[in-house]
Formats: sequence, C-alpha cells, structure tokens
Amino acid sequence: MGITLNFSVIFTEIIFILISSLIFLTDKFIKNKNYSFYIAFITLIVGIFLALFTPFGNFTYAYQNDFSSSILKLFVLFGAILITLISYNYLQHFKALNYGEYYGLILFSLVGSFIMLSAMDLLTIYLGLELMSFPVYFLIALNYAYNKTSLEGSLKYFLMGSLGSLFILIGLGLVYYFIGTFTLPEISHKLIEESINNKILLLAFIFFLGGFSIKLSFVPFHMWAPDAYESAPVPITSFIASIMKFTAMATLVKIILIGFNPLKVQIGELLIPIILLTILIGNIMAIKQDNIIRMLAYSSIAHAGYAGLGLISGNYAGYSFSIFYMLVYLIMTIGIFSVLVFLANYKKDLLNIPNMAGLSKNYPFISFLILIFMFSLAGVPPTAGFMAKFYVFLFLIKAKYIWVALLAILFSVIGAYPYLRVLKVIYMDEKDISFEYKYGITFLIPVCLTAFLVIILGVYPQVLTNIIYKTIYLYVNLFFYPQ
Amino acid sequence: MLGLTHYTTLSIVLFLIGLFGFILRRNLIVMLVSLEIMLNAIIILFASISHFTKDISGYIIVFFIIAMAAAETAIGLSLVVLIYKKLKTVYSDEITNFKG
Repeated sequence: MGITLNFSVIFTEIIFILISSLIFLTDKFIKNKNYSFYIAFITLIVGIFLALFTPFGNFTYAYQNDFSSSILKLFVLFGAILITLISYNYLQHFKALNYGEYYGLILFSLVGSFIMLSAMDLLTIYLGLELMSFPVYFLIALNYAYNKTSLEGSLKYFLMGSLGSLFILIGLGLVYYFIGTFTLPEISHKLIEESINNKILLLAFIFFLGGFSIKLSFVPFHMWAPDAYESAPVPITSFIASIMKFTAMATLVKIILIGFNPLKVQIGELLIPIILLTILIGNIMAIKQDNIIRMLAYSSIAHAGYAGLGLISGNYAGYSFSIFYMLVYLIMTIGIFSVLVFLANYKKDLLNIPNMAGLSKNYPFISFLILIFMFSLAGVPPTAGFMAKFYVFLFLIKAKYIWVALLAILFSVIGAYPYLRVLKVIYMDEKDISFEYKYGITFLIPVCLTAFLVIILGVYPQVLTNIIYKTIYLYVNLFFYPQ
Repeated sequence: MLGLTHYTTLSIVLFLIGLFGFILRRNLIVMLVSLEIMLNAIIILFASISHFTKDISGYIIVFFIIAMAAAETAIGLSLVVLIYKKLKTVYSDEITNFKG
C-alpha cells in the first residue's frame, strides 16, 4: 500500500483553517464586530455536516478519518457551538474582548482538537496538541483588559504547557530510539511480535502521560488549573474545561488502545496512585474556595480523575466509559458555565459563593438550573453525572480493583460538599439581591439544551454509551483482526 | 569517531542544563531561553538517531520541532512583553496575585 494523499479526508480542517484566517485578515476593516460570531457559528454548523459526510480514509499514514474520530468530532462540534453561543452572550457585555480574533482563535483551537482526534501517529498527536493549546494562551491573556492579573494565569499555563510538550517530545524520542517508528499500529505490532524491553516503553508512556496530564490536570501538574481558570474569560474557561479535556482524554485512550495495547494492564496499575491522588486533592481543595470558578476548577481536576478511573480498569468497555464520562462532563460544564456567564453579565460579584445568598427568592429559574447542574456534578441519581460515575465504578469493580473503587467512592462523598454548599447558600440563606436582567436566546438555548441532556442521559444513557462503545470496539477489531 | 552514544549524551546533558535553568532561574526571559535549550537538545537527539539509523523520519520531526519552537517562543515573548508593560516586572517570584 502506497502513501495516499486524499484531500477530501482533511476537507473539514482545510475549511476551518481558511475561514479562521479570513477572520484574522478582515477583522481590521469591519466596524460591527458581531460579524465574526455569525461567521464562526455558520462554520460550525457547516462543520457538523462536513463531519457527517466526509469520506472515511487515510491522508498518508498520519491521519485517518473513521467512525470513531467522526463521532468524537461531532461531540466536540456540539460543545463548540454551545460555547460560541455563550461567548456571544458574554461579549455583548464585555466589549473590550469583542474582536474577530476571539472566534478565529477558537476555530484554530478546534482544528487542533480535530487533528488530535484523527491522528494516527505520535508526531501528529503532538502537533495537534500544540495547535489546540497555543490559541488558548492568547485567549486567556485577552482578559487583561478587565483583569490585569489574568496575564499571570496565562503565563503559568504557558510554562506548564511547554513543559508538557517537552515531556511528549522525550517520550517520542524514546519510542523512536528503541522501536524505530512512531506510528501507533506499528508500535503495537512491534510490541507483540518482538520481545522489546517493555520497561523502556512503559517509561516512554510515562512521559506521554506527563504531557497529557498537564492538559488533563492530573495531580503532579494540577497547579495551573485554578489560576488559569479564574483569569480566563468565563466562556473560555468552559472551553478549557470541557473541549480540551475531552479531546485530551479521547486521545489518551486512543494512544493506549492502539499504540500501547499490550501494556494496558501495567499502565492501569501505574495510573492508580495518580488518579486517586487527583480525585482526593481536587475534592479537598474545592472545599475552601469562595470563588465559584476556582471551586469548579478544582472540581474539574477531580472529574478528570474520575474519568481516569476507566483507564485503570484496563478493558475496552472501561475505556469507552471514560470517554462517556468526559462527554457528560462536557455537557455539565457548558451548562453550569453558561449560567455563570449570565450571572457575570449582570452582576459580577455574584461569582463569589457567599454573595449568592438568597438567589432563589427572586430568580427561581436560574437557581433551579444551578440545582440541576450541581446535582449532576455531585452525582445525585436522576442526573447524567450519576450514571457516568456508576458505569466507571462498575467496570473498576469488574476489573477486580474493589479497593480503588471504594476509595474513589469515599472521595466522591467528600466531593459532594462544595456543590451542596452552593445550593445551601442559594436556597437556605436569607438575603435580598436584585438586578435587572433579560433572558436572551443565546442564553436560553445552551442552558435548556444542556439541562435537558443532563436529565435525559441520567434516565436513559443507553444510546450514547452504545455508540461510544461501538467506536472503541471497531478500533480494536480494525487493528487486531484486519480484513 | 563519534558514535550515537556521544550525541545522546550531549543531548541529555543539554536537556538537564535547560531543565535546571527552567526550574531554578526566576527571570522569565531566561526561563524561555532554557525552554529553547531543552528543545534544541531534543532536536540533536532526533537528528543523530536519524543519521545513524539511515531513517529519514527523524529529520522530518526536527523540522516540525523547529517550527513549533519558533511559535512557542513568539507566544512566550509576547506574553512576557505584556507582563512587563502591565505588571512592571519580569521576575516570576514577584508575580503572585493568585493564592491557594
């Protein structure tokens, strides 16, 4: 089989890059800055159709568009559409951010996540990771117009991110030194066929894990998360927490599944202390935070840990449920952050938890939405957060890691406190607050859609879990039983 | 005659120099320079592997890494310039607005 240059496979990415470059070029000449929102929104809608109708195939060995990557791209695009809607809502009140570059950088970052989702070798995954994270440094730093200290958050994220990319490069170097190739299926086949020293490959994987754990904010590298989250504009915070983490987790699953498949049991054992510490530290540090965005940052550390529990279990269904967990987390995060965007628009100091007291008296709809999302984040039964946690723990117990599951459940009991505290302040404390507001359509669509999905997935998650399981199953079939 | 091990040793030593500089120094510009040193160490590693195994893909990685290093430096320098303009410092231990 020769190298194929099939440009129809990368058509989505080409369109996205062209349109975001167009936004960068024309932004100087257009007075009404809302045009770039419409361009970005239409591009994302077109992107959904492109992701549905692009033919499956390879663009050289590096890039493969298949069932799994298309499905994951659809999820990412869904999240991105909701984020552009809440960004529009936010930028109407924070005019200094309202430039075309804002949406252009989001589109560039999405191209990076697409490249990561359908990359087939480690170099392309590295390049996609960089393309995904570079625009976000700028997007965080953009907020200096309102908050000078946001530069510090951006700088911390930048330094940690570049250290992470170095880790990935060292891992790549080790793989290239000892195996001589860096295509994922070939690594797996070489590992099965030849008796290469597995310890070295495990070391290489640890370096990869270091790089990815900076994006996923696993424990030794979690310190940037609260600062960067607090300093970013609120919609960008939801972008970092939802889409980037979803992409990083899906790609990590792909690396383990295709590249390091023979080592998956050792990798699971290796991950146990990291994941447990991540859950514990995320939950404990969330308790004492007063700023709700900082609290959600620590909770996002903990949630990445819960999703990582699926990787410990070391079987394919467990992997699919760790992607499912990240998907549910994407939906919940976008929901709660769109409510926070609403609060930040009309009264900025409501982002401090003690100031929220008595919100339920005058604003029952907003309070009810916060209730739904907080219950889902805490994992209370009729919501999607419960089902996601349930499946992850189920497959952990099936893989005979009962003590890990018990500890994780214990930590998640600790983790329920910060969410329930917000609800207690909103519903039980007495105080009068009132502010002028109006519900725009860009607020109602994301909020209602995500709240609906959170309830529906909590009652009937079967459809989505089946789809995600099938994508994983197809991958395994494709690489170990080729036609 | 220089072998692969010599180049690997050089790359490891360079990388460690960069890593210590990155961790110990407090000046943001020097931290960026240390990042560049580490990236160059990795470039030497890939180029030498590629030279000694007669496999071309290492050289391709080198070009990608050079492009990425340029982008990373551009971002880092623009951030440092902004920080110097707004916060009037380039030392990382003087930028402490966030706690806990």
